[in-house]
Amino acid sequence: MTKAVVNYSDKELIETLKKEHVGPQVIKYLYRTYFHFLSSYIKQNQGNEQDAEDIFQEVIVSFIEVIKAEKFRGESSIKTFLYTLNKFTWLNELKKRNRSLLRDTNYYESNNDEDRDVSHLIVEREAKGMVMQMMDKLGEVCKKILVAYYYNNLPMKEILRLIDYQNEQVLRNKKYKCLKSLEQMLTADPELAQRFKNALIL
Amino acid sequence: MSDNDKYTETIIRYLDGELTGVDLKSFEELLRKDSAVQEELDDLRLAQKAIRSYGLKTDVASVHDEMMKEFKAEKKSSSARIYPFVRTTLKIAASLLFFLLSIGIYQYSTVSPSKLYNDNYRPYTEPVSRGAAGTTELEKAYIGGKPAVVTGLFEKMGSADNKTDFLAAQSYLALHRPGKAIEVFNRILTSPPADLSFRDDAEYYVALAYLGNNQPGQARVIFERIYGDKDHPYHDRISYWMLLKLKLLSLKTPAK
Repeated sequence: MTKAVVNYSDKELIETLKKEHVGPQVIKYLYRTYFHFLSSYIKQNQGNEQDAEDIFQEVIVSFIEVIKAEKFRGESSIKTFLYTLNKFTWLNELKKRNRSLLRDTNYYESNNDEDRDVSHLIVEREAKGMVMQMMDKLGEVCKKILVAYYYNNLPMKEILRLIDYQNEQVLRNKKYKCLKSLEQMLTADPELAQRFKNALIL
Repeated sequence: MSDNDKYTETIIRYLDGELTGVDLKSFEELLRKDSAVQEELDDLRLAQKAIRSYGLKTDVASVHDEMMKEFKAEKKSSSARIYPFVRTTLKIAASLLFFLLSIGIYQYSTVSPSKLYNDNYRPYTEPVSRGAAGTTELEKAYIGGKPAVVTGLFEKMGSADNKTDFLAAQSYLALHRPGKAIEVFNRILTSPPADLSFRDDAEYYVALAYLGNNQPGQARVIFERIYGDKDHPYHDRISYWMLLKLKLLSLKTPAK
């Protein structure tokens, strides 16, 4: 079956990613355009196929967040920026695995502003991962309500159809409790909260 | 609901954009005055960001799985496209190899000096017209297709000139006496340089005579020399295929 493939220029891609909700089509475009290019770097530098897949997934999430935070300065092309992000993410992962670093040991000392921003994001990726685990601890119902409301921007009436609750007020109360629980988990570890904040304010 | 909880609910309503008019203004006033409320607002805002980040991660993960399946399917289908081509090519190559081997084996088993001799022997045609002035009895007998008469006359008179020798040698070949023919042809090839007539003809026919005499090794040397000389009048009578057969004969009978 032939798939309809949408192509974007760098400018169109940035504008699309800045929109409130990122559709699957643009994410697929990122995969089709950059996955093979970036995964070859991982595989050439001590990584395997699974490493390449995991790192790419992380890179795409970070990239979209960078765009949404309007922190992409456009000093380089998206391809170059993704390459840098991919490289730093992988080198950080290698460092975490206590492997010997490759030639780019001093990548945090880059003179390029965009590189410094990227390296900053990568340093805090572990904190980000831990916060994602907190979300999992909230339970399926809480995750569903919060993601539907704050990420998918669905109105309460539509969320009520997804969750089998008596009425909208019960759902509102549940949403309140879920968000409060997450806040409490975050404030219980101020250091982690700060690191997570750092990772987000790029 | 505690006081703190009460504020939390208002903060969430504020973050969700549900506060309007007087409620919004009074909350903004509260924010300016109460640092604890401001702090909780920051914490809840961070929690919202965590949710958005989680949502994005989940969306990417879902597309990721789909894309990995797509890439793997593409890889498989590209392999599927390549493998039949490789298989077909290998089949053709194997068939061709088998065909060539079969031909080689068949040729090796069937090739023989006498067969090669019979395939290539064509009696020399004397260009002199019947009854022309100066035509010797021997020539007349040759033109008349009487090789036994020719050899009889030749044996009586002995060697006269290259032409006489050549026609006699041809007659020996016609009488299936290649050994005698070789002897006479070689006489032409070693004759004094003053008489160069019939030398090229003798060279070709002596090689044929060697074949007829079951001496393919000797024949091959001469045929290869003629094949290598494009100006030789008998060059066109020798093909690469013929030389190949001679090589096979050399393998079969290396000493000859």
